Amino acid sequence: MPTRNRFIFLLVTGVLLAIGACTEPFEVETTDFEDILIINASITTETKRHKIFITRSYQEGDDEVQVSGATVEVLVNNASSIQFEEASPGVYQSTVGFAAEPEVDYQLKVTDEKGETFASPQVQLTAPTAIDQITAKRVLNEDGEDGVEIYVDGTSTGDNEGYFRYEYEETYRWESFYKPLQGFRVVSESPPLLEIVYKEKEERVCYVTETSNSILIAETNNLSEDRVEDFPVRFIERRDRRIAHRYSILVKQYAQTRVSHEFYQTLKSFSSSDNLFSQPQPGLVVGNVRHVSDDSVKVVGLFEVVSFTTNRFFFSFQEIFGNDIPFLDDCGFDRYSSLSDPELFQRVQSGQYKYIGEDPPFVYQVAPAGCVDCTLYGSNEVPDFWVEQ
Amino acid sequence: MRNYLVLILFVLVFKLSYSQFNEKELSFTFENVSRLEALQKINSDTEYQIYYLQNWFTDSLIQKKYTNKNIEDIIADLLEGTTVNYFLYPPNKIILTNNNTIYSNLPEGFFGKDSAKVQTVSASRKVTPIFYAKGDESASKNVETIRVGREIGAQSKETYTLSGYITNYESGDPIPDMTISTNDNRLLAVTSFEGFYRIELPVGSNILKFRALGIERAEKEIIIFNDGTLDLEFNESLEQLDEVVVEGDIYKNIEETVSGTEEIDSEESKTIPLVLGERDVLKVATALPGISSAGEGATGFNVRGGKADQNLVLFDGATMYNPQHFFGIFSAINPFSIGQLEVYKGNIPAKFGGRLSSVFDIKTKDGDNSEFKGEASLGPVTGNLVLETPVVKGKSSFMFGARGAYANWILRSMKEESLSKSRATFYDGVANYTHQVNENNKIKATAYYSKDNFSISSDSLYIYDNSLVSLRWQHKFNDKHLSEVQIANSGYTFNIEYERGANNDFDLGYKINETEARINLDYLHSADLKFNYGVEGKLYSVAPGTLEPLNEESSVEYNSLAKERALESAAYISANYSITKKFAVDLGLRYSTFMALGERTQYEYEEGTPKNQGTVRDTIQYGNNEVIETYGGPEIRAGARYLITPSLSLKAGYNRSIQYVHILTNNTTISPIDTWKLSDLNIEPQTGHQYSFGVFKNLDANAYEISLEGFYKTSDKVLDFKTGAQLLMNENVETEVLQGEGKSYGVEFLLRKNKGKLNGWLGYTYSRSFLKLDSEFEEERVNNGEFFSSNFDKPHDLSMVANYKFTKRFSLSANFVYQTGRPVTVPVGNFTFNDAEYAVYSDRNSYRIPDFYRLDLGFNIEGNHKLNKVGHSFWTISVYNVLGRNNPYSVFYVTENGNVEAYKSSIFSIPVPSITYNFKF
Repeated sequence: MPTRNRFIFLLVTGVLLAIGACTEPFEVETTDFEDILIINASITTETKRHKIFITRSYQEGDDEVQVSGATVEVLVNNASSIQFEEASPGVYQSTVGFAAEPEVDYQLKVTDEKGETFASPQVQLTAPTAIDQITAKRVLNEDGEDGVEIYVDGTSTGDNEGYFRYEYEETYRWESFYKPLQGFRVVSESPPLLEIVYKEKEERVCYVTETSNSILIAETNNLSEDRVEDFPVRFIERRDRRIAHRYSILVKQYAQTRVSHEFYQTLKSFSSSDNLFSQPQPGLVVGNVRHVSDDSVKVVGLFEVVSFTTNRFFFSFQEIFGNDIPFLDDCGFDRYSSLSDPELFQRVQSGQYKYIGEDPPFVYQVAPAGCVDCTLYGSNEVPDFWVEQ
Repeated sequence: MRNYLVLILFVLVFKLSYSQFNEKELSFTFENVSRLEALQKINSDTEYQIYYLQNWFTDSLIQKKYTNKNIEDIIADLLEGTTVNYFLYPPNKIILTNNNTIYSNLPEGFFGKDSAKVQTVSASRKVTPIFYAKGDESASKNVETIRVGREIGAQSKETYTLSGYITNYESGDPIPDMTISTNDNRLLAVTSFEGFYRIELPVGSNILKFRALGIERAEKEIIIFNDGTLDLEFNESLEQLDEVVVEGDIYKNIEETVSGTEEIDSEESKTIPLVLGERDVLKVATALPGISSAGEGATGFNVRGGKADQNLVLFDGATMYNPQHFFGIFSAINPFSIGQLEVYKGNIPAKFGGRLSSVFDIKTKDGDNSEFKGEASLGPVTGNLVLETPVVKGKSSFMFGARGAYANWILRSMKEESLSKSRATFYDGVANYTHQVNENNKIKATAYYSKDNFSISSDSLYIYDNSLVSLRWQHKFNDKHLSEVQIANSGYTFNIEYERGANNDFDLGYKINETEARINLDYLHSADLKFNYGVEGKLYSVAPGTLEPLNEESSVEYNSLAKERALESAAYISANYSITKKFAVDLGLRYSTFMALGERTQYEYEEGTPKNQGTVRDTIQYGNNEVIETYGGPEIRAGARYLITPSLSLKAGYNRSIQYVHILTNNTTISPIDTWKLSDLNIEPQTGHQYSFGVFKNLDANAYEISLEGFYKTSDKVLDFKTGAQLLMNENVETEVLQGEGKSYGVEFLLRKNKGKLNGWLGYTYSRSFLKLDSEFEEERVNNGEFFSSNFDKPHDLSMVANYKFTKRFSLSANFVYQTGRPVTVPVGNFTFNDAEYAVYSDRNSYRIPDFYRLDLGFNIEGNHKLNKVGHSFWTISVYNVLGRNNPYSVFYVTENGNVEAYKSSIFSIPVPSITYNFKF
């Protein structure tokens, strides 16, 4: 049978489609709660009264459980010890200021309020590192958002295991939407009466400081050099208020051990969702602190003695984004025609509303306090480190 | 038929000649000679000439003594018990005929009525001679003529009884339910379960038709002279129609000695609606009891509560390490290129080994060796083409299949953020060459390659590929002894390319390769006793990790973990023995060994301490090919079947197997970038036992198949991992590994309807699957060392696949699945660390995600079946997840802005319609 002319094929396809894979919030019915001691102890080369945090696990929706009444000490070379006292519930501060020193064996011992004793192995200070530079670059992130990414370059200057951890403290200038020079003052409460006076407090420009709370770790042990290059510590969207004016970041670099790295690495992988199809099997993240005698008492504890170095970096919006549109604030306002209006008085008295101006004269405009008073968010004092452009 | 005779002799001189043969008296003594020799002796020693054909006589020996007998008596006595008649033809000729009698006069009325002659009918006997004339040539085409019995001078009866056994020519098995009817379709008999029949036939020529499912249609002309027995053999049907193939096995489910096997026909699966219109035999397999996957997007299969690395996937005999594309969403097997998939989940035949839970035996179809053919399809995600062409007509053929995906647009259109950032492309190709050298030799070569690229974030690209080649030579020594020699090589590699533009851009690679040689022999001793035996050897080579800089700017140092090598070998024999018609056993023994080979460095750890880098006691260097450790042991594969009635059977089985290679994964479901690890000094092989029992019943003339099977399985040294294990590029990976016990049990029910307008199946499984990781050390213990639900422990699993044919062209199919939600690990609380909140996990798999259910519908339109059409088209319009059920695939707890947020994710949460066009030519 002739086959050649049987070879015809045409393929057509019409399709639809908007696939509905989705991720949505989910409420789990309360499962068996387990009370586990949490110890976060990091001693650094910074000379200060170091803090060790001791808490307990808590149920979803509850408040943190701070451990009060524990005994905390750090043994030095198995001979002397540094005592820690309870500064506030859950926070134990060394009675003396000190900095971790190299070649010294440190060991943590904690006896909790129930009398259970936990200890870490002996650990030594990691070698020093240096932050070579911090840079900022305009990028489109994974989600296609326009913003600035801050990178750090760091080098180990000693013999380290090749693991770095970063934290940062960011400070930015906050400008109030309304910047009146005057404000209301209460003349009398009954009858309600307000007057307009010049403000004594700076409420127009403030400096807000926030600290990082994400896990930032890098490893260099696969590299021929113990050097971190272009490590992204922070991404901020272009229209984020933080970078609307001027922004400063203090990057803290720690040289950590493999034990710490694995602890943070595991914690990170259990608390993020990179791959929808294949998830890591979560389990108890154990650090290096154990119960001294009973293996079955669960504890999540990390004790580390780490070298520490910091560096600060500044930029202003225009340096990164030129004349593109930054964060745009918007605030509404209300008008009152009398300084003795009871509603106006009540609003001002509560601190929720503030004077922004008169337009036309004798028609008083008020706006929510947040639009007027930046001290609600940060400090009106220029930080010591602050450098204007 | 062409050698049939028309014999009519006119003998004019009768009376005279007759007397001549009685005059002489002869004496003969025959001691242990054949009849032929006796006749030759008479021929040579007397004046008589005897005419005959040698093949009328058997070799059986006779002992006869004749003293002073006349020749007629001697000949008559000699031919007693044969079908040969004689005729004395004066003066001295003796003509022997087979079956026929030579008549010396014609029957009455042979030349028309002779009115002049007055006929007197002799006293009591009516002699009815049997003449048969050459019939209509076309009608009798291919009709073999069989003569039964010997015509004796006077036929006393008008009908005679014929009985005998009918067997399958190839297998020697009885053919039950074969109808025997006359040419005018009058049913005479149906063979019994043992293939026995008994019919009454009118004396003389009868055209009989023999019909049975799966057996070539046959007509035979039976010329019956006497009551007699006739055993017949028939060939299996060579028709390519699926229905015939399937129905040929109607009793297979009942009769097979081993239980726990499933067969999936690729063509049969085409109407089952699946996601994005992709035909997928592996997905169909998961709709059968006992086979499941951890979830909609999960890679791998879990068979009877076993882990996903416990399945041996064979593609034309070569191991396929990852039969899936893009996690588990698409199969890596071109559905048009394969003939059949057989899944062994219960009794694994002794010829297979190396995995605990199952064998997926996939066979590609042979190319058509008579004409050029092809099949193509276009769906929303993949395009698919298979071509078949003869190379030497009637002898050899080539089959080529290719499939490519264009899935990116779908991923981009996904609302789910983590998926819309994903990219995936994949393709696979298969080619085979089949050569039927002669009746006794067949060669088949197969090559396969598949490749996937996917990325989940912009900086990482994951690439993996499967490659395999196999060469198989089937040789038939004789009808009873068959051999198959195979060599195969298969490999799996993956790479992770990380590119961010900084100094740490890397390429991490993994590679496993195995080369295998196998000789498998079948010896069919008798219809009741069959042997299968052979040997196989497999050489593994694993490059467990290579890290290299991706580009020149990268300062990543080249690092390669030492290669792992091992030799796995096995010898096996199994016997399938039908002790009685009802009771059959299949006893198999496999002895396997595994030698981990150098050159390598292995660590020895302090005893009585958990394995970690601090407890390394000794470092041992092994030279090239030096044996590091040898494992091995007997693997018993035993099955028994008892037929209560022809359509009801009981089966029991016991199975022990050993697995020497393991997937290392610390995920809840396996992923394509999990490594396979060979057993070595510190990682022992897994062993498994399975006990199974089943009842199998066919109803309503085999329209329905019902089975109920139970199993209990235990396994030992199953691999698991310490929390947060680092498995890639880890030189001391054994320090992260835990080996524990597995336990699973269940009951599987399957109701299948194979015939009629509505066909399909309903399967229900109740099963549990547990794991136990115990140790004297807390860090090596999970859930306090007690049994806990495995990640794929889904007690209730119901699936229904149904297809309703409205007409030959239109059919509607539906697919419904209900499963208990799979276990997940949920937090036992939260804690704060460095100003952020994290979930704390303790008990593994203590919670279940909501139950899963999904209904898919498909409407299939076949093109018309006109004979002169260029090709045949087939449309499938399907909607996956018609109910739009938002089935959670997993739950996860993410720390976002310092707070723990719980999410559940699903892969296909809304109805997904699709249209696929198939074309066959």
